[in-house]
Order: sequence, then C-alpha cells, then structure tokens
Amino acid sequence: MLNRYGRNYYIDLSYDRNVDLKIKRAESILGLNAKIKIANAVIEDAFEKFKRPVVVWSAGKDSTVMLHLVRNYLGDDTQKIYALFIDHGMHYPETLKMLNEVAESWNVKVVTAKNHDVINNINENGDIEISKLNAENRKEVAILGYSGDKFRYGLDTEVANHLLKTVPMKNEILKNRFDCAFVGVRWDENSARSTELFMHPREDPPHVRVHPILTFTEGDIWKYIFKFKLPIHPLYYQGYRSIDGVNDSKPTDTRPAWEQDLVTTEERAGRSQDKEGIMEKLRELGYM
Amino acid sequence: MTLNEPNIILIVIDTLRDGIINFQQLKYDNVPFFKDFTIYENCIATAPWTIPSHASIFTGKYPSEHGIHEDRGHKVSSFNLNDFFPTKLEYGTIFQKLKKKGYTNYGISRNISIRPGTVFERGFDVFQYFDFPFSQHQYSVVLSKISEEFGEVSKREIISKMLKGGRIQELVNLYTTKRRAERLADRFNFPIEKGASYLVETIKNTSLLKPFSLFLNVMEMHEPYSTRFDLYDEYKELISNEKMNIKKVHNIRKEYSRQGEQVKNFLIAFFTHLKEMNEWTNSLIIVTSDHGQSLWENGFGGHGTFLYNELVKVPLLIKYPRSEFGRMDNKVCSSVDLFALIDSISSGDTAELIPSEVSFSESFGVLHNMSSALNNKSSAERERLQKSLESIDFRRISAFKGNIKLTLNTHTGEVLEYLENSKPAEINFKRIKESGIIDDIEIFDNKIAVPFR
Repeated sequence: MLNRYGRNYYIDLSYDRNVDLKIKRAESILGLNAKIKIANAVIEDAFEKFKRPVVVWSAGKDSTVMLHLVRNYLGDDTQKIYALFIDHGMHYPETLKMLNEVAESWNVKVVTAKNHDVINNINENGDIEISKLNAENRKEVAILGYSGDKFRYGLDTEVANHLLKTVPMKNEILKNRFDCAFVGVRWDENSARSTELFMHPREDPPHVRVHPILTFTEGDIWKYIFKFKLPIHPLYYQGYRSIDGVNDSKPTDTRPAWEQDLVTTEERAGRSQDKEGIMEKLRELGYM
Repeated sequence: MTLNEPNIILIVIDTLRDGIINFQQLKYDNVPFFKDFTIYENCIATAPWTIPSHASIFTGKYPSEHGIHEDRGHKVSSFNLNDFFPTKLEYGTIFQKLKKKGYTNYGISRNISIRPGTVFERGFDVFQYFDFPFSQHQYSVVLSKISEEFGEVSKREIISKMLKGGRIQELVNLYTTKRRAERLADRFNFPIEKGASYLVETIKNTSLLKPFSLFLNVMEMHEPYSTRFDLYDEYKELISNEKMNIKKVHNIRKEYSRQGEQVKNFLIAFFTHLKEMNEWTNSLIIVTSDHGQSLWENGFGGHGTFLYNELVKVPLLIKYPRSEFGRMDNKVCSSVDLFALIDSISSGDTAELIPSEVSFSESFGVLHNMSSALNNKSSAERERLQKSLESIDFRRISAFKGNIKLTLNTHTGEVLEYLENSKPAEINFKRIKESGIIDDIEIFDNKIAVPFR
C-alpha cells in the first residue's frame, strides 16, 4: 500500500494477491535502475569505509548479481575481488563448475569456507556423532543448545546448517580479517530477512554485513541478469528457483525459473522447509 | 562477575627480541614459575617499534588497521616523541573490554610512549608512568634542545661553540644538570637498572581489587646501554660507507644480553610476589615483547624501519589460569591474537591462544627523522646520505606462514627477504604457491604489488 508520497515501504501483498503478507517487504514499484543506484551507493559507501571486503558468493542468481555489481563498481581488475564460497560438501557439480568458470573470467579469487572436521566425521549411516567432533565444533553445538548425540548430514536441520555453513563462514572471516562481507539477501526472500539493514554490524567475529540488493525482488534479479547478460546457473533452466545442496533443493516447476509465477508463488518452496522455518535462529547465530 | 574470574596480567618487556632469554631452557630445567608457562616459539610482533605494536596488542588490529604508525611524512625525531603520542584510536582496547566485564584495570609503564594522556590509558582505573632515574628526563630534555641546535655532534664541538658564543652560564647549568643526572644514575645503577625493581616494589605496595588486570611495560632491554650509540650510528652502515666500530658493536651486544639477566630477575621477583599473594594460580599471565632489537646483524642497529627477525620475532609465554604445566608450541602466531585470548579467558572460557595461520608485520618506511643526526655533515654529504635514506624509505610487509617468511616492498613487489626455517633460502616458487602465502598477502592488502602471479 502506498503512502501519500507514493512510497511503498511496506506493501500489503494480501491486499490484491493471495500471498502471506507477513513475509513480504517487496519494493515492487521502484524501478530496477533506481534499485541499481541504491545498490551502487551502498557498495561505494562500503568500499570507502572498509579495507578488506569479501563477497559471499554461492554461484546462485542473487549473489552472482551482487558480485557483478561489486565488479562493476571497481571498474577494472586492478583490485582483485575476494569471494567467500561456503562449501558444505553437497553442492551440485553444476554449481562448482559455474563457480570456477565465472571466477576465472571475472578475475575473482575464491576463498572456500568448509568445515572439514564435520565432513570427515560422517559415518556409514550418513550421521555425524557429536563426540567425534573437535572442541570448537562441540562448543558451537553447545551454543546452539542441541542436546542430541548425533545429527544427519544434510541441510534440513539447525545443527547441520550451523556447523556446515555459519561456523566455517565465521572462521574464514576471522582468519582472513575480512572487515566487511557483501551478502546478496533480499527483503522479499524470507520473513527473517525482511527487516535486514543495508549495513549490519556483527560481533562474532567483528565485521559488517553489507546488503546492497535488499530492494531487489526475484523478478528484478532476472531482469538484471538478462540486461547485463550474466552467466546463469544451468539448474535455473530446469525449473529450480533457489539452489543449495543436492538433497535440499528441488525444481518448483518444469519451466525455467524466470518464466514461473514469481509473484504469487514462493521462491524458496523448493528448499528444505524445515530450514526455512529455522532461518531466524540461524541468522541470530551468524547465518546470512 | 565473581571473585573466581581469572586475573589478567600482561607484561610487555619492551625491546626484548626472541632468543635473548632462553625461556625454553628455563622450562626444561623446571625452574620455578617457568615450567607453568606455554612457550610460543614463533610469535611475531606486528611492527618493529613500540607505538604501533602496543596498539596492536591492545586492540587486536594490525597497524594498517588501527592506523597508528609512522609514514613517509610522519617520523620520530631522535629526542622528541611529541608528534607520536597518539590521541585517536577508532578501536576499543582490551582494557576497555575488561572494564565492561567488571575488572579493575591497573597499568604501570616505564615507557614514555605508553603513558597516561595517550590512547593507551583507555580502560585503566589506575595508569602510572614513571621516569627512571628521575633526573634522566630533565637531562634528556636539555640534550634534546642541544641536539636541535647543534645536531648530533661531539661534546667538544658543543662546548667550543657555546664558549665562542659567550654562553658560559648555560654551559655551567648544562654541566650541573649532567653531573646531577650522572650521580643519580650511579645511585640507581642506571642504565643496567631501568626501574624494574621499583616496579615490583610499587606492585607490592598496591592493593589490587579483584578481579584485576595488570599491564606492565618494562624498559630494561631498551637502550641506552653503557656503550652509547646515537641515531646516526643506527643507520650509518646502510646509508654511508662507514662501518660501525666492531668493538663497540660487540660491547652493545654484550650489554644487551646482560640486560636479559635483569629481566629474568625481575620476572622471578614479580612471580614470587604473585605466588606469595596467592594470585599465581588463578591468573592468566602473558609475557611478551612489543618488538626486538637489531644489533647490526643486517647493517642496522636499534629498532623501527626494518622487519628482520631480530626486530619482529618476540618471545611469548602464557600461563593459563589453573594450569600447572605448559607446553611448547611452534606454530606461527601474532601479538594480535592476544586480544581474543584475553577476551575469552576473561569471559570464563577455558580457551587457549588460537594462533593465526599467517602473521604479518608492517613497517611504513624509515621511522626516524634523521635531519638532526645529519646536521654536522657537509651539505654535499648530507644530500648524499638523504638520498640513501630515501632509497630505503618505503613500506614493507612481512608474512609468516608455516616455516616461510616473505618480506616485500609493497610498492614494487620486490622480495626483500625469503626465509625458510628462519634461514635465508633460494626462492622456492613451488613452496610459496603451495603455502598460499601470496593469497594471504593479497587478502591482507589488495593494493599491494605482489610478485609470482
């Protein structure tokens, strides 16, 4: 709903569409060019403020758009871009292929965040026993308040997500002394992300999360990708709208992602729904 | 916050380079106190001189991050540190953090750069600086004025110039001040004793509210030594064809080692007091240094400017609370790692030091303003020496990873030093690539000119 100045900070989507209004904070009226300007202003400010930035990049559509925006801002290749890739060990081969190809052609240096201790301790049943993990991981399990003695290797539980994604990401940020991490989250993705700030300081480890594309909707992302002819992850052609682990993501339709109904259906419907429900808590512990 | 929170004791032995006091031997010989310490054999100071290095210890940030360092246009004059007392620091110090956790923070420093009135006082409930012996400061103020006027010339020349100028009363005053300083120095055994025993006495007479943190800066290893060398001596082998007098260098090295004994005795006296006060067991005790000291091993004497191992490899001993036997650890670590350690232990965590996989040390060019040191040279000679100085006046960075050390000129990417196991080696491209040290340097400073791309 617009206010009298024509602004639409909060659009009640249930007003005209049958979508859960609580999880949407879409800037659907603002044009793409304006959103790109906002993103560039945020990126410029971050480069003025911070010394050692990194782009969190999964080779998915959102983070690739963000990487492209950062690359465009820098203009030439004199300043190398560092990208942080979280390797939970369950990526599609297509993801890794795209990652390598784009990194090479865009002169991006990829820093991989991987929790080797967890991955090395998967038993024959596909479980990880907590007692076999190192002290740091056991401590993280305790912080999470998880009381089980094992957990399943997958991305549908709080504990696995925390250990496989957040912990290695935080470790790499700490180890490399990154003071700013560009993250491609958007307001309209998930209710837990709908109140995110453009710059959000984090304490553990101390750094600032920078979110230049908060205002983009899913449709804006595809518009941007086609406008600037960005490489597209092959699974989007096969009906996936959101891509993560092989057991965690499913196609939502047979049509390519950009041809699907991006307004009245859920973008992350193909993702493990248990994880979607725990997003709030994961974010409190440092997830994006 | 309870009284069971560990006390935090941070002792910086200013200017103590690695290897002068054989802590490993003291530990193996089960010398009381030292067996309780874990000895980190590869600790790297972030900078080769006091102010940036202390700022790193206090904030957990490198000099290029906290911003308190020398630069091409910002240098230290031989007697005048006024420009270098930092008053701005955008990061909080560990003592500010401890204060918030309920600690009472005490600091006692003998180093004029780390004193009340500078950013280093932040977070302290009590922060005391003391000059030692007391007249030395007065004498050095007079020397500073003379140095500004005459340059670093011989005593005879100064006397002759003053007599010619009819400044007899000034000369008498100078002589009186000098004699007074010398008499006091003799009385206090200066420069062998630079206040460490006074520091122990001060602590003995101080009642420390628990849980407390205590920061000490001890200057026993810092010049002056009995054998005098001036600022020009520090650089002369590098900027002129003159060689340092071998006998003089030998004496200085001997005196520097002797100072190590003083420090050992100070540590034992201080630890004895802690034990007597029942504060030994429940304390995190860190003994380290801010930088080392070059004694013309690479043509340079003193500290600052360069990143040779004798300048940036420093001892690090840590006694963890309630730990009765420490170990040896040869992983590379940095003095920036201390911030996180103190933070977690003061929060009741049982964590140990988490060493950085790669440690850096930074110099931003020639530290000293040499104009006064070159005053007594002819103008042609001064010009030649200035040119030589400019040729070494550039930013350097050293990266330490595993057994590799790589030092670069950050502007040109020239490799200034490549060491394996602390020894000069042929540049091994394969090993460098496998180590990932180039990536680490690029991430640390993405504007740096990095070789071997």
